[in-house]
Amino acid sequence: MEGMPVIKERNLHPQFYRRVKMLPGGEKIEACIQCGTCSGSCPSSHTMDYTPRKLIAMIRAGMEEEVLKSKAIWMCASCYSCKARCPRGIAITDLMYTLKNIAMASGCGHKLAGPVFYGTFNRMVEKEGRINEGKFIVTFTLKTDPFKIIGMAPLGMKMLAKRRLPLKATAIKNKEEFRKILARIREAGI
Amino acid sequence: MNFNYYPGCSLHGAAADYRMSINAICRRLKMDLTEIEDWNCCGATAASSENYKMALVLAALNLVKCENESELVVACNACYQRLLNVNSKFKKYPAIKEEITAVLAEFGISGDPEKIKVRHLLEIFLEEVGLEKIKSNIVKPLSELRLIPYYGCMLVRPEGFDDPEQPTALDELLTALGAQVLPFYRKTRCCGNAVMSTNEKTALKMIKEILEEAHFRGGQAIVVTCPVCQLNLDAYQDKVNKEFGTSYNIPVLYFTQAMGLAFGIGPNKLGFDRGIVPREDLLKLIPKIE
Ligand code: SF4
Ligand code: SF4
Repeated sequence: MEGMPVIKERNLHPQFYRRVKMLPGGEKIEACIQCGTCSGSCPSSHTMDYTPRKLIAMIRAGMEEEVLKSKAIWMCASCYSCKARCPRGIAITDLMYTLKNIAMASGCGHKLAGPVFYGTFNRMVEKEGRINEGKFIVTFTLKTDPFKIIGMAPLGMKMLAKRRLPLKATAIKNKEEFRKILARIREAGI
Repeated sequence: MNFNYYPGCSLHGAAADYRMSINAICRRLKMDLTEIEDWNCCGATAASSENYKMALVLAALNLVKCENESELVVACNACYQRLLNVNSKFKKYPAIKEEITAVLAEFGISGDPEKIKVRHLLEIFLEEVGLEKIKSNIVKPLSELRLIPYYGCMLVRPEGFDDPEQPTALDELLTALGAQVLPFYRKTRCCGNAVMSTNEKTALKMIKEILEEAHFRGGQAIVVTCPVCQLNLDAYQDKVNKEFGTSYNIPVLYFTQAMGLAFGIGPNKLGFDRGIVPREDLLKLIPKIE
Protein backbone atom coordinates (compact mmCIF):
# COMPACT_ATOMS: atom_id res chain seq x y z
CA MET A 1 0.00 0.00 0.00
CA GLU A 2 1.22 3.49 -0.75
CA GLY A 3 0.50 6.93 0.69
CA MET A 4 -1.12 9.63 -1.38
CA PRO A 5 1.28 10.61 -4.15
CA VAL A 6 2.68 14.12 -3.87
CA ILE A 7 2.46 15.98 -7.18
CA LYS A 8 2.62 19.54 -8.42
CA GLU A 9 -0.62 21.46 -8.75
CA ARG A 10 -0.06 22.05 -12.45
CA ASN A 11 -0.12 18.29 -12.98
CA LEU A 12 -3.62 17.93 -11.57
CA HIS A 13 -6.58 17.51 -13.90
CA PRO A 14 -9.81 18.90 -12.48
CA GLN A 15 -11.56 17.92 -15.72
CA PHE A 16 -10.89 14.27 -14.82
CA TYR A 17 -12.93 14.70 -11.62
CA ARG A 18 -15.70 16.35 -13.63
CA ARG A 19 -15.70 13.49 -16.14
CA VAL A 20 -15.84 10.75 -13.49
CA LYS A 21 -18.76 12.51 -11.79
CA MET A 22 -20.77 12.16 -14.99
CA LEU A 23 -20.24 8.38 -15.23
CA PRO A 24 -21.86 5.47 -13.33
CA GLY A 25 -20.60 5.28 -9.75
CA GLY A 26 -19.04 8.73 -9.92
CA GLU A 27 -22.07 10.88 -9.36
CA LYS A 28 -21.95 11.03 -5.57
CA ILE A 29 -18.25 10.97 -4.81
CA GLU A 30 -18.40 14.59 -3.76
CA ALA A 31 -20.28 13.33 -0.69
CA CYS A 32 -17.53 10.92 0.39
CA ILE A 33 -16.49 11.61 3.99
CA GLN A 34 -13.27 9.59 3.72
CA CYS A 35 -14.40 7.30 6.54
CA GLY A 36 -12.58 4.29 5.08
CA THR A 37 -15.50 1.86 5.52
CA CYS A 38 -15.03 0.79 1.90
CA SER A 39 -11.31 0.06 2.31
CA GLY A 40 -11.93 -1.76 5.60
CA SER A 41 -14.63 -3.94 4.00
CA CYS A 42 -12.64 -4.71 0.88
CA PRO A 43 -11.20 -8.26 0.68
CA SER A 44 -8.41 -7.17 -1.63
CA SER A 45 -7.53 -3.66 -0.40
CA HIS A 46 -4.44 -5.09 1.35
CA THR A 47 -2.88 -5.73 -2.05
CA MET A 48 -3.96 -2.45 -3.65
CA ASP A 49 -1.45 0.33 -4.17
CA TYR A 50 -4.22 2.81 -3.32
CA THR A 51 -7.26 1.69 -1.33
CA PRO A 52 -10.77 2.58 -2.57
CA ARG A 53 -10.98 5.50 -0.10
CA LYS A 54 -7.66 6.89 -1.32
CA LEU A 55 -8.68 6.49 -4.96
CA ILE A 56 -11.72 8.66 -4.30
CA ALA A 57 -9.57 11.36 -2.69
CA MET A 58 -7.20 11.17 -5.66
CA ILE A 59 -10.03 11.49 -8.19
CA ARG A 60 -11.35 14.54 -6.38
CA ALA A 61 -7.88 16.04 -6.41
CA GLY A 62 -7.67 15.44 -10.16
CA MET A 63 -4.81 12.90 -10.11
CA GLU A 64 -5.82 11.41 -13.44
CA GLU A 65 -2.67 9.54 -14.38
CA GLU A 66 -2.02 8.18 -10.92
CA VAL A 67 -5.56 6.80 -10.69
CA LEU A 68 -5.72 5.34 -14.19
CA LYS A 69 -2.29 3.75 -13.92
CA SER A 70 -2.91 2.32 -10.46
CA LYS A 71 -2.92 -1.43 -10.03
CA ALA A 72 -5.71 -1.09 -7.48
CA ILE A 73 -8.50 -0.76 -10.02
CA TRP A 74 -7.60 -4.21 -11.42
CA MET A 75 -7.54 -5.78 -7.94
CA CYS A 76 -11.23 -5.13 -7.39
CA ALA A 77 -13.09 -8.46 -7.27
CA SER A 78 -16.52 -6.81 -7.77
CA CYS A 79 -17.84 -8.15 -4.48
CA TYR A 80 -19.95 -5.08 -3.71
CA SER A 81 -19.06 -5.16 0.01
CA CYS A 82 -17.98 -1.52 -0.15
CA LYS A 83 -21.16 -0.45 -1.89
CA ALA A 84 -23.33 -2.31 0.61
CA ARG A 85 -21.68 -0.54 3.53
CA CYS A 86 -20.83 2.99 2.35
CA PRO A 87 -22.64 5.43 4.67
CA ARG A 88 -22.95 7.96 1.84
CA GLY A 89 -24.53 5.57 -0.66
CA ILE A 90 -21.62 5.74 -3.07
CA ALA A 91 -21.62 2.95 -5.68
CA ILE A 92 -17.90 2.26 -5.31
CA THR A 93 -17.97 -0.98 -7.31
CA ASP A 94 -19.55 0.85 -10.25
CA LEU A 95 -16.93 3.57 -9.81
CA MET A 96 -14.21 0.91 -10.04
CA TYR A 97 -15.80 -0.35 -13.27
CA THR A 98 -15.91 3.20 -14.62
CA LEU A 99 -12.21 3.70 -13.86
CA LYS A 100 -11.41 0.41 -15.63
CA ASN A 101 -13.54 1.55 -18.58
CA ILE A 102 -11.63 4.82 -18.88
CA ALA A 103 -8.28 3.10 -18.43
CA MET A 104 -9.04 0.47 -21.07
CA ALA A 105 -10.38 3.03 -23.55
CA SER A 106 -7.24 5.15 -23.17
CA GLY A 107 -4.89 2.16 -23.33
CA CYS A 108 -3.62 2.87 -19.81
CA GLY A 109 -1.88 -0.08 -18.20
CA HIS A 110 -2.75 -2.20 -21.22
CA LYS A 111 0.05 -4.62 -20.38
CA LEU A 112 -1.27 -5.41 -16.90
CA ALA A 113 -2.91 -8.81 -16.46
CA GLY A 114 -6.32 -7.24 -15.67
CA PRO A 115 -6.99 -5.48 -18.96
CA VAL A 116 -5.57 -8.39 -20.97
CA PHE A 117 -7.84 -10.78 -19.08
CA TYR A 118 -10.98 -8.74 -19.64
CA GLY A 119 -10.07 -7.93 -23.24
CA THR A 120 -9.47 -11.61 -24.08
CA PHE A 121 -12.78 -12.60 -22.47
CA ASN A 122 -14.73 -9.92 -24.30
CA ARG A 123 -13.19 -10.70 -27.70
CA MET A 124 -14.21 -14.34 -27.23
CA VAL A 125 -17.75 -13.29 -26.31
CA GLU A 126 -17.92 -11.04 -29.36
CA LYS A 127 -16.73 -13.84 -31.59
CA GLU A 128 -18.74 -16.79 -30.28
CA GLY A 129 -21.47 -15.26 -28.14
CA ARG A 130 -20.53 -17.62 -25.32
CA ILE A 131 -17.48 -18.57 -23.28
CA ASN A 132 -15.78 -21.94 -23.22
CA GLU A 133 -13.97 -21.70 -19.87
CA GLY A 134 -11.11 -24.03 -20.73
CA LYS A 135 -10.37 -22.42 -24.06
CA PHE A 136 -10.55 -18.96 -22.51
CA ILE A 137 -8.08 -19.70 -19.70
CA VAL A 138 -5.59 -21.28 -22.11
CA THR A 139 -5.83 -18.32 -24.55
CA PHE A 140 -5.35 -15.83 -21.73
CA THR A 141 -2.41 -17.69 -20.18
CA LEU A 142 -0.64 -18.01 -23.53
CA LYS A 143 -0.90 -14.25 -23.91
CA THR A 144 0.44 -13.36 -20.48
CA ASP A 145 2.60 -16.15 -19.08
CA PRO A 146 2.98 -19.13 -21.43
CA PHE A 147 5.16 -21.06 -18.97
CA LYS A 148 2.33 -21.06 -16.47
CA ILE A 149 0.49 -23.52 -18.74
CA ILE A 150 2.72 -26.30 -17.41
CA GLY A 151 1.75 -25.46 -13.84
CA MET A 152 -1.90 -25.50 -14.84
CA ALA A 153 -1.76 -28.98 -16.33
CA PRO A 154 -2.48 -30.94 -13.13
CA LEU A 155 -5.73 -29.08 -12.48
CA GLY A 156 -6.65 -29.34 -16.17
CA MET A 157 -6.18 -33.09 -16.04
CA LYS A 158 -8.31 -33.37 -12.91
CA MET A 159 -11.06 -31.32 -14.52
CA LEU A 160 -10.92 -33.58 -17.56
CA ALA A 161 -11.00 -36.72 -15.44
CA LYS A 162 -14.05 -35.41 -13.58
CA ARG A 163 -15.73 -34.68 -16.92
CA ARG A 164 -15.90 -30.98 -16.23
CA LEU A 165 -13.92 -29.68 -19.18
CA PRO A 166 -16.07 -29.81 -22.28
CA LEU A 167 -13.86 -29.68 -25.34
CA LYS A 168 -16.72 -29.07 -27.68
CA ALA A 169 -16.91 -25.40 -28.66
CA THR A 170 -20.03 -23.57 -27.62
CA ALA A 171 -21.47 -20.72 -29.66
CA ILE A 172 -24.68 -18.90 -30.42
CA LYS A 173 -26.47 -19.32 -33.75
CA ASN A 174 -27.14 -15.73 -34.69
CA LYS A 175 -23.49 -14.61 -34.59
CA GLU A 176 -23.55 -12.08 -37.36
CA GLU A 177 -26.20 -9.79 -35.96
CA PHE A 178 -24.82 -10.24 -32.45
CA ARG A 179 -21.38 -9.05 -33.55
CA LYS A 180 -22.83 -6.05 -35.33
CA ILE A 181 -24.80 -4.99 -32.26
CA LEU A 182 -21.72 -5.17 -30.05
CA ALA A 183 -19.65 -3.28 -32.60
CA ARG A 184 -22.27 -0.51 -32.65
CA ILE A 185 -22.16 -0.23 -28.88
CA ARG A 186 -18.37 -0.11 -28.78
CA GLU A 187 -18.39 2.62 -31.41
CA ALA A 188 -20.55 4.73 -29.11
CA GLY A 189 -17.75 4.76 -26.51
CA ILE A 190 -18.30 5.13 -22.80
CA MET B 1 -44.73 -25.06 -13.10
CA ASN B 2 -43.02 -23.62 -16.14
CA PHE B 3 -40.22 -21.04 -16.17
CA ASN B 4 -38.00 -19.29 -18.69
CA TYR B 5 -34.46 -20.33 -17.88
CA TYR B 6 -31.05 -18.79 -18.47
CA PRO B 7 -28.32 -21.42 -17.85
CA GLY B 8 -25.21 -19.35 -18.64
CA CYS B 9 -21.88 -20.58 -19.98
CA SER B 10 -20.71 -22.42 -16.85
CA LEU B 11 -23.76 -24.62 -16.68
CA HIS B 12 -23.04 -25.69 -20.23
CA GLY B 13 -19.38 -26.16 -19.29
CA ALA B 14 -17.48 -26.86 -16.07
CA ALA B 15 -20.60 -26.98 -13.92
CA ALA B 16 -21.93 -30.18 -15.47
CA ASP B 17 -22.81 -31.46 -11.99
CA TYR B 18 -24.91 -28.37 -11.24
CA ARG B 19 -26.78 -28.89 -14.53
CA MET B 20 -27.39 -32.57 -13.83
CA SER B 21 -28.66 -32.00 -10.30
CA ILE B 22 -30.94 -29.15 -11.39
CA ASN B 23 -32.46 -31.35 -14.09
CA ALA B 24 -32.95 -34.24 -11.70
CA ILE B 25 -34.68 -32.30 -8.93
CA CYS B 26 -36.81 -30.23 -11.29
CA ARG B 27 -38.11 -33.45 -12.80
CA ARG B 28 -38.95 -34.67 -9.31
CA LEU B 29 -40.71 -31.38 -8.43
CA LYS B 30 -42.49 -31.32 -11.81
CA MET B 31 -40.90 -28.03 -12.77
CA ASP B 32 -40.10 -27.20 -16.37
CA LEU B 33 -37.14 -24.92 -17.01
CA THR B 34 -37.20 -23.86 -20.65
CA GLU B 35 -33.92 -22.43 -21.93
CA ILE B 36 -34.46 -19.13 -23.71
CA GLU B 37 -33.73 -19.33 -27.41
CA ASP B 38 -30.10 -18.74 -28.42
CA TRP B 39 -29.10 -17.01 -25.15
CA ASN B 40 -25.68 -15.30 -25.06
CA CYS B 41 -23.01 -14.85 -22.38
CA CYS B 42 -23.95 -12.33 -19.66
CA GLY B 43 -20.49 -10.74 -19.87
CA ALA B 44 -19.62 -11.64 -16.25
CA THR B 45 -17.28 -9.04 -14.72
CA ALA B 46 -15.35 -8.67 -18.00
CA ALA B 47 -17.83 -6.72 -20.12
CA SER B 48 -18.54 -4.14 -17.43
CA SER B 49 -14.80 -3.74 -16.82
CA GLU B 50 -14.23 -2.69 -20.41
CA ASN B 51 -17.45 -0.95 -21.36
CA TYR B 52 -20.51 -0.75 -19.12
CA LYS B 53 -22.78 -0.33 -22.12
CA MET B 54 -21.54 -3.60 -23.60
CA ALA B 55 -22.46 -5.28 -20.30
CA LEU B 56 -25.97 -3.83 -20.41
CA VAL B 57 -26.49 -4.83 -24.04
CA LEU B 58 -25.37 -8.42 -23.42
CA ALA B 59 -27.83 -8.71 -20.55
CA ALA B 60 -30.65 -6.88 -22.36
CA LEU B 61 -30.32 -9.15 -25.40
CA ASN B 62 -31.18 -12.10 -23.18
CA LEU B 63 -34.01 -10.37 -21.37
CA VAL B 64 -35.84 -9.29 -24.53
CA LYS B 65 -36.04 -12.95 -25.54
CA CYS B 66 -38.61 -13.44 -22.78
CA GLU B 67 -42.22 -12.40 -23.09
CA ASN B 68 -43.19 -9.15 -21.38
CA GLU B 69 -44.19 -9.47 -17.71
CA SER B 70 -42.63 -12.92 -17.48
CA GLU B 71 -39.93 -14.22 -15.18
CA LEU B 72 -36.45 -15.44 -16.02
CA VAL B 73 -34.82 -17.99 -13.72
CA VAL B 74 -31.03 -17.98 -13.37
CA ALA B 75 -28.88 -20.52 -11.51
CA CYS B 76 -25.49 -18.76 -11.55
CA ASN B 77 -24.99 -15.91 -9.07
CA ALA B 78 -22.86 -13.90 -11.50
CA CYS B 79 -25.31 -14.20 -14.42
CA TYR B 80 -28.18 -13.47 -12.02
CA GLN B 81 -26.63 -10.22 -10.89
CA ARG B 82 -25.69 -9.14 -14.43
CA LEU B 83 -29.22 -9.73 -15.72
CA LEU B 84 -30.88 -8.22 -12.64
CA ASN B 85 -28.70 -5.14 -12.95
CA VAL B 86 -30.27 -3.94 -16.21
CA ASN B 87 -33.46 -2.93 -14.46
CA SER B 88 -31.88 -0.73 -11.80
CA LYS B 89 -29.37 0.79 -14.24
CA PHE B 90 -32.09 1.66 -16.76
CA LYS B 91 -34.11 3.30 -14.00
CA LYS B 92 -31.14 5.25 -12.68
CA TYR B 93 -29.77 6.31 -16.08
CA PRO B 94 -32.62 7.03 -18.54
CA ALA B 95 -30.16 8.41 -21.11
CA ILE B 96 -28.22 5.12 -21.18
CA LYS B 97 -31.47 3.21 -21.49
CA GLU B 98 -32.48 5.36 -24.42
CA GLU B 99 -29.14 4.86 -26.16
CA ILE B 100 -29.21 1.09 -25.75
CA THR B 101 -32.86 0.78 -26.74
CA ALA B 102 -32.10 2.81 -29.88
CA VAL B 103 -29.21 0.53 -30.89
CA LEU B 104 -31.36 -2.57 -30.40
CA ALA B 105 -34.17 -0.96 -32.40
CA GLU B 106 -31.77 -0.46 -35.34
CA PHE B 107 -31.64 -4.25 -35.50
CA GLY B 108 -35.38 -4.62 -35.19
CA ILE B 109 -35.16 -5.78 -31.59
CA SER B 110 -37.98 -4.42 -29.46
CA GLY B 111 -39.13 -5.55 -26.05
CA ASP B 112 -38.59 -3.90 -22.71
CA PRO B 113 -35.95 -5.54 -20.49
CA GLU B 114 -37.47 -3.77 -17.49
CA LYS B 115 -40.64 -5.84 -17.87
CA ILE B 116 -38.82 -9.09 -17.10
CA LYS B 117 -38.41 -10.25 -13.53
CA VAL B 118 -35.05 -11.91 -12.97
CA ARG B 119 -34.98 -14.51 -10.19
CA HIS B 120 -32.42 -16.91 -8.80
CA LEU B 121 -33.25 -20.61 -8.70
CA LEU B 122 -32.87 -20.67 -4.90
CA GLU B 123 -35.46 -17.91 -4.64
CA ILE B 124 -37.84 -19.94 -6.81
CA PHE B 125 -37.52 -22.96 -4.54
CA LEU B 126 -38.24 -20.87 -1.47
CA GLU B 127 -40.92 -18.57 -2.78
CA GLU B 128 -42.67 -20.46 -5.58
CA VAL B 129 -42.22 -24.15 -4.84
CA GLY B 130 -42.19 -23.61 -1.08
CA LEU B 131 -40.48 -25.48 1.74
CA GLU B 132 -43.58 -27.55 2.47
CA LYS B 133 -43.57 -29.11 -0.98
CA ILE B 134 -39.83 -29.64 -0.79
CA LYS B 135 -40.18 -31.34 2.59
CA SER B 136 -42.89 -33.62 1.25
CA ASN B 137 -40.38 -34.98 -1.28
CA ILE B 138 -37.74 -35.89 1.30
CA VAL B 139 -37.07 -39.59 1.71
CA LYS B 140 -33.59 -39.36 3.20
CA PRO B 141 -33.26 -36.46 5.64
CA LEU B 142 -29.70 -35.14 5.79
CA SER B 143 -29.66 -35.19 9.58
CA GLU B 144 -26.13 -36.60 9.82
CA LEU B 145 -24.65 -33.80 7.69
CA ARG B 146 -23.08 -30.66 9.16
CA LEU B 147 -23.23 -28.13 6.35
CA ILE B 148 -21.73 -24.69 5.76
CA PRO B 149 -24.11 -22.41 3.85
CA TYR B 150 -22.04 -20.23 1.51
CA TYR B 151 -23.87 -17.62 -0.57
CA GLY B 152 -21.02 -15.68 -2.17
CA CYS B 153 -21.42 -12.03 -3.11
CA MET B 154 -23.55 -11.84 -6.18
CA LEU B 155 -26.58 -13.68 -4.93
CA VAL B 156 -27.32 -10.80 -2.59
CA ARG B 157 -25.21 -7.81 -3.67
CA PRO B 158 -25.67 -5.17 -4.87
CA GLU B 159 -29.30 -6.25 -4.99
CA GLY B 160 -31.19 -9.48 -4.52
CA PHE B 161 -33.94 -11.21 -2.63
CA ASP B 162 -32.23 -11.58 0.74
CA ASP B 163 -30.05 -9.64 3.20
CA PRO B 164 -26.86 -8.33 1.51
CA GLU B 165 -24.55 -9.54 4.29
CA GLN B 166 -26.33 -12.12 6.45
CA PRO B 167 -28.91 -13.82 4.22
CA THR B 168 -30.87 -16.84 5.45
CA ALA B 169 -32.52 -18.40 2.36
CA LEU B 170 -29.96 -21.19 1.96
CA ASP B 171 -29.92 -21.83 5.74
CA GLU B 172 -33.69 -22.27 5.61
CA LEU B 173 -33.59 -24.63 2.65
CA LEU B 174 -30.84 -26.85 4.12
CA THR B 175 -32.61 -26.89 7.50
CA ALA B 176 -35.76 -28.06 5.72
CA LEU B 177 -33.71 -30.93 4.23
CA GLY B 178 -32.98 -31.99 7.79
CA ALA B 179 -29.31 -31.00 7.77
CA GLN B 180 -27.41 -29.42 10.64
CA VAL B 181 -26.74 -25.94 9.27
CA LEU B 182 -23.73 -24.33 10.92
CA PRO B 183 -23.42 -20.64 11.67
CA PHE B 184 -21.08 -19.07 9.15
CA TYR B 185 -19.89 -15.51 9.53
CA ARG B 186 -18.25 -15.38 6.09
CA LYS B 187 -21.34 -16.57 4.23
CA THR B 188 -21.22 -13.63 1.81
CA ARG B 189 -17.48 -12.96 1.85
CA CYS B 190 -16.15 -12.92 -1.73
CA CYS B 191 -14.47 -16.12 -3.02
CA GLY B 192 -12.11 -14.03 -5.16
CA ASN B 193 -12.82 -15.67 -8.49
CA ALA B 194 -12.75 -12.38 -10.41
CA VAL B 195 -9.06 -11.95 -9.55
CA MET B 196 -8.01 -15.64 -9.62
CA SER B 197 -6.31 -15.42 -13.02
CA THR B 198 -4.83 -11.96 -12.62
CA ASN B 199 -3.85 -11.90 -8.96
CA GLU B 200 -3.68 -15.47 -7.77
CA LYS B 201 -2.13 -14.72 -4.36
CA THR B 202 -5.00 -12.47 -3.32
CA ALA B 203 -7.58 -14.93 -4.61
CA LEU B 204 -5.94 -17.83 -2.73
CA LYS B 205 -6.02 -15.80 0.48
CA MET B 206 -9.71 -15.10 -0.04
CA ILE B 207 -10.42 -18.80 -0.59
CA LYS B 208 -8.33 -19.72 2.43
CA GLU B 209 -10.31 -17.44 4.72
CA ILE B 210 -13.53 -19.19 3.72
CA LEU B 211 -12.08 -22.71 4.04
CA GLU B 212 -10.51 -21.75 7.36
CA GLU B 213 -13.81 -20.75 8.92
CA ALA B 214 -15.63 -23.72 7.37
CA HIS B 215 -13.04 -26.03 8.93
CA PHE B 216 -13.14 -24.18 12.27
CA ARG B 217 -16.92 -24.58 12.41
CA GLY B 218 -16.64 -28.31 11.80
CA GLY B 219 -18.39 -28.30 8.44
CA GLN B 220 -18.32 -31.59 6.50
CA ALA B 221 -19.13 -29.78 3.27
CA ILE B 222 -19.64 -26.29 1.93
CA VAL B 223 -22.91 -25.78 0.06
CA VAL B 224 -22.97 -23.17 -2.71
CA THR B 225 -25.49 -21.58 -5.07
CA CYS B 226 -23.11 -20.60 -7.88
CA PRO B 227 -20.86 -22.45 -10.36
CA VAL B 228 -18.18 -19.78 -10.08
CA CYS B 229 -17.94 -20.07 -6.29
CA GLN B 230 -18.05 -23.87 -6.61
CA LEU B 231 -15.12 -24.10 -8.97
CA ASN B 232 -13.09 -21.57 -7.05
CA LEU B 233 -13.57 -23.17 -3.62
CA ASP B 234 -13.28 -26.74 -4.95
CA ALA B 235 -10.49 -26.66 -7.51
CA TYR B 236 -7.92 -24.55 -5.66
CA GLN B 237 -7.77 -26.31 -2.28
CA ASP B 238 -4.48 -27.95 -3.29
CA LYS B 239 -2.97 -24.59 -4.12
CA VAL B 240 -4.26 -23.02 -0.91
CA ASN B 241 -2.70 -25.87 1.05
CA LYS B 242 0.62 -25.39 -0.69
CA GLU B 243 0.61 -21.62 -0.20
CA PHE B 244 -0.44 -21.61 3.46
CA GLY B 245 0.81 -24.98 4.71
CA THR B 246 -2.75 -26.10 5.48
CA SER B 247 -4.46 -29.40 4.69
CA TYR B 248 -8.01 -28.52 3.75
CA ASN B 249 -10.01 -31.15 1.96
CA ILE B 250 -13.59 -29.94 2.17
CA PRO B 251 -16.12 -31.07 -0.45
CA VAL B 252 -18.09 -28.29 -2.13
CA LEU B 253 -21.62 -29.15 -3.24
CA TYR B 254 -24.43 -27.37 -4.97
CA PHE B 255 -27.62 -26.85 -2.96
CA THR B 256 -29.40 -28.74 -5.71
CA GLN B 257 -27.17 -31.78 -5.06
CA ALA B 258 -28.10 -31.63 -1.36
CA MET B 259 -31.77 -31.51 -2.37
CA GLY B 260 -31.28 -34.44 -4.72
CA LEU B 261 -29.67 -36.56 -2.00
CA ALA B 262 -32.54 -35.81 0.38
CA PHE B 263 -35.02 -36.69 -2.38
CA GLY B 264 -33.32 -40.07 -2.67
CA ILE B 265 -32.03 -39.45 -6.22
CA GLY B 266 -28.98 -41.54 -7.15
CA PRO B 267 -25.67 -39.68 -6.67
CA ASN B 268 -24.57 -40.38 -10.25
CA LYS B 269 -27.68 -38.58 -11.53
CA LEU B 270 -26.56 -35.57 -9.46
CA GLY B 271 -23.01 -35.50 -10.83
CA PHE B 272 -21.85 -36.25 -7.31
CA ASP B 273 -18.66 -37.93 -8.51
CA ARG B 274 -17.51 -34.79 -10.31
CA GLY B 275 -16.12 -32.86 -7.34
CA ILE B 276 -12.42 -32.02 -7.54
CA VAL B 277 -12.32 -32.65 -3.78
CA PRO B 278 -14.08 -36.03 -3.62
CA ARG B 279 -17.57 -35.86 -2.15
CA GLU B 280 -18.15 -39.60 -1.91
CA ASP B 281 -17.46 -39.85 1.86
CA LEU B 282 -20.56 -37.78 2.49
CA LEU B 283 -22.70 -40.54 1.01
CA LYS B 284 -21.87 -42.74 4.02
CA LEU B 285 -23.78 -40.25 6.15
CA ILE B 286 -26.98 -40.48 4.11
CA PRO B 287 -29.56 -42.96 5.46
CA LYS B 288 -29.72 -46.21 3.50
CA ILE B 289 -33.48 -46.78 3.79
CA GLU B 290 -35.31 -46.30 0.54
S1 SF4 C 1 -17.25 4.16 2.63
FE1 SF4 C 1 -18.16 5.75 1.31
S2 SF4 C 1 -17.94 7.67 2.48
FE2 SF4 C 1 -16.56 6.15 3.45
S3 SF4 C 1 -14.56 6.49 2.43
FE3 SF4 C 1 -15.62 4.87 1.27
S4 SF4 C 1 -16.71 5.97 -0.37
FE4 SF4 C 1 -16.13 7.50 1.17
S1 SF4 D 1 -16.23 -4.29 -4.88
FE1 SF4 D 1 -14.03 -4.11 -5.26
S2 SF4 D 1 -13.40 -2.27 -4.14
FE2 SF4 D 1 -15.40 -2.85 -3.34
S3 SF4 D 1 -14.95 -4.14 -1.56
FE3 SF4 D 1 -15.20 -5.53 -3.29
S4 SF4 D 1 -13.13 -5.83 -4.12
FE4 SF4 D 1 -13.06 -4.00 -2.78
